[in-house]
This record gives sequence, C-alpha cells and structure tokens, in this order.
Amino acid sequence: MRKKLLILPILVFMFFASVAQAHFLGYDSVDNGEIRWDGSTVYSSQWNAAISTWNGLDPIDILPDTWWTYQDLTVDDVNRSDVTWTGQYTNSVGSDEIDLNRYYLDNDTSAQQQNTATHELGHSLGLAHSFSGNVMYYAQTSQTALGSHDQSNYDYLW
Amino acid sequence: MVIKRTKNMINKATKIIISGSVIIVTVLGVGLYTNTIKLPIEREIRPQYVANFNDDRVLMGASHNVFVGKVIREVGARDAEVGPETQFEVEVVLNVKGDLQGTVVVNQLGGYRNGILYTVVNEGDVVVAGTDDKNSLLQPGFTYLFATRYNDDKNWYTLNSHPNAMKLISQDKGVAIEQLRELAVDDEKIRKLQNAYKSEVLLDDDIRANNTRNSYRSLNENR
Repeated sequence: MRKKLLILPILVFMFFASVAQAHFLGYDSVDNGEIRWDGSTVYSSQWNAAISTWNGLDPIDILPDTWWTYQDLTVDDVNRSDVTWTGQYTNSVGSDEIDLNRYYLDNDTSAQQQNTATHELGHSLGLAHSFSGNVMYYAQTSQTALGSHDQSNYDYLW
Repeated sequence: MVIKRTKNMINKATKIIISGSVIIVTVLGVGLYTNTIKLPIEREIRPQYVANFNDDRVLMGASHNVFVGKVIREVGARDAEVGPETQFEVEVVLNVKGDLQGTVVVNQLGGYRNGILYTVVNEGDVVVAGTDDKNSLLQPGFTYLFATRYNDDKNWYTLNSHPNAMKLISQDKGVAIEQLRELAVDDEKIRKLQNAYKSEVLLDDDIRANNTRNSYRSLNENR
C-alpha cells in the first residue's frame, strides 16, 4: 500500500513533466486527418523526402491536393537576402503557407534543404520549436531523421 | 387599396434592407482589404533561422547594421512573397555596427492582412510550452536596439525577428536624442554586442554573395 502511495505521485510528476516539455503551437494545417498541399519548389526531392519522413508516423497523412479536396497548405520559394530565415510557416486564414528561402538554401547541402522542409512541415503538423537533436530545433541543421522529442511530441499531439 | 399600400411598404423596406446590406458589405470589404479595419484576430509566423542567433558573434556577423533608433512613425506596409511586412521611419540614436545618420526605414516582418495581424513568434534556443512571446509591431515614440540586414532594392533595413536581435531601450516618448544616446551607451546588451562585433562570425552565404556589409574586418583591416 505504501509503495502504491509513493509510485502514484511519481507517475503524476512524470506526466506533468512530459507535458511541460512538450512543444505545441495550438494550431496546425491538419484537416480531417490529413494535410492537402499544393504549390511548387525547386527542392522537390527534399520536399518529398520530408513528407515521407512525417508520413512514416501515424495517423496524419500529408498528400497532394486534388480537385476533390480542400487545400490546407501551399509551398513556395522566395529569394530574400535581407531576412535571416531559411524557411517559414504562416498560419494563414484559408490555406497555410510554407516559404523556402533560396538565398540560403541554394548553396546548402541536400540534407540542410531537407532539414528545413521537414522542420516547416513539422509546424504544419502543430509542432513548435524544440531542443537541439531534433528537426524542430529553431535553427537549421543537417539532421533529416526525426529526433526522439519530435516523435514523442507528434505521438502526444496525434 | 390597403393590400397595395402594404405591398409598396414591403417593397420599399426590402429595397432599403438590400441597399443597406450592400453598403455595409462594401465598406467592410474595402476596410478589411485596405487594413483600415483591424480585427481582434492574430495569426502567427514561425521561421527557421539560418544560424544560432543566441550567439552574439553570429548575430553581429549576420547583421549589416546594428543601431539604436527611435521610431517616428509607420510609413508603409507590404504583403508580397513573404507575407505582411511593415515599414517604420526611425531616427538613428547610436550605431553599434555601421554608420547610419539621420532617419532610415526599418522593415519589420509581420503586419496586417485583411484586417488580421500576423506576428512572428519570438523563439530562442530553449522554448518552454506557453512562454512564446509575440514579436509585436514597433511602437512610434519608443526607442529600440535593432539588428538588421539591408535591402538595397527597397532601401530599407529589415529587422532580424530573433529575440536576441532587438531590445526595447526606452518607452518614454519625450526623451531627447542625446539622453537616449546616454541610455544606450550604458546598456549592458549594447556593450556586449560592441565587444562581439570584433569577433563576429559572418554567414557563409553572405561571403559567397559578397554581401558582408560593414564587416569588422573590412572596416578595420587597413587601420
């Protein structure tokens, strides 16, 4: 009985600790269990690889928009040397937007380009910035595989 | 006779309601489109930064001009490829990197689109749930430290949206420029950035594109 009394507060503490470390936006581009995207980018192979990375997790599917579906997300390339970001996600009214910045990405490695695409798609799934060692880290890295915190945040949210 | 008069009254009332609705919808539409009507709704923009701007040396290296300035007024807004942006006329108080004089235009990412305010969320290295701070629009009369990059097409200085790239120096609208300069000179963050400038870390992309304006090395190598 005493043991049970001891374990219970520990479990409660662990639950609240994990929630406190979770990084969520409070909004996302998910509609009916999927994100329908449209638009174009010169980094199409990195973009598709990023989609495959997130589609490897259940239950949300990221799929191209069709005539019969409602578009949730638009991807586009920009070229701005006066900003300091490689990509950005805008939670818009209507279709949300992902902008990829060619000023930085054009000279990046394929892994860095994929990191940015994966990161921005993570925002569209409702994930906020996270710790180093995860694709949701706030600055660009060469990491293309999801980190443990990326996965646990996704699992917790979905 | 009575039925005819009633019909006429209904027709008149219908016409008034329809005309009134058209006028209201038109005024609302134009107001929202031109952002003269501002709704109490906010939306967020989340960037992924090219480098770790928590490091002052990286922040200084990625900036073309770092300065303290007093915001005079909003002078423009744009909503093109990267979403809403807002421009402010700013009087230069003190230069930390570069040598700006008089007034310049500072471009801030974020602004109004169809009456809705879009703001870049301030996120640094470590983010704890629920502590996100909005990168609110600059306030006329307030004095800030700005870490910026120059846009020569637009002749404006775009503010880096990272939380380490800006600091509110004074909210007092009545303080003279000389007094603001004294405040800035005594500010610990500004002193730290002045020191970091000497060992700034330039962005590889800027070196490649010959876009390292006011780099410490370029201004000091012949001295």
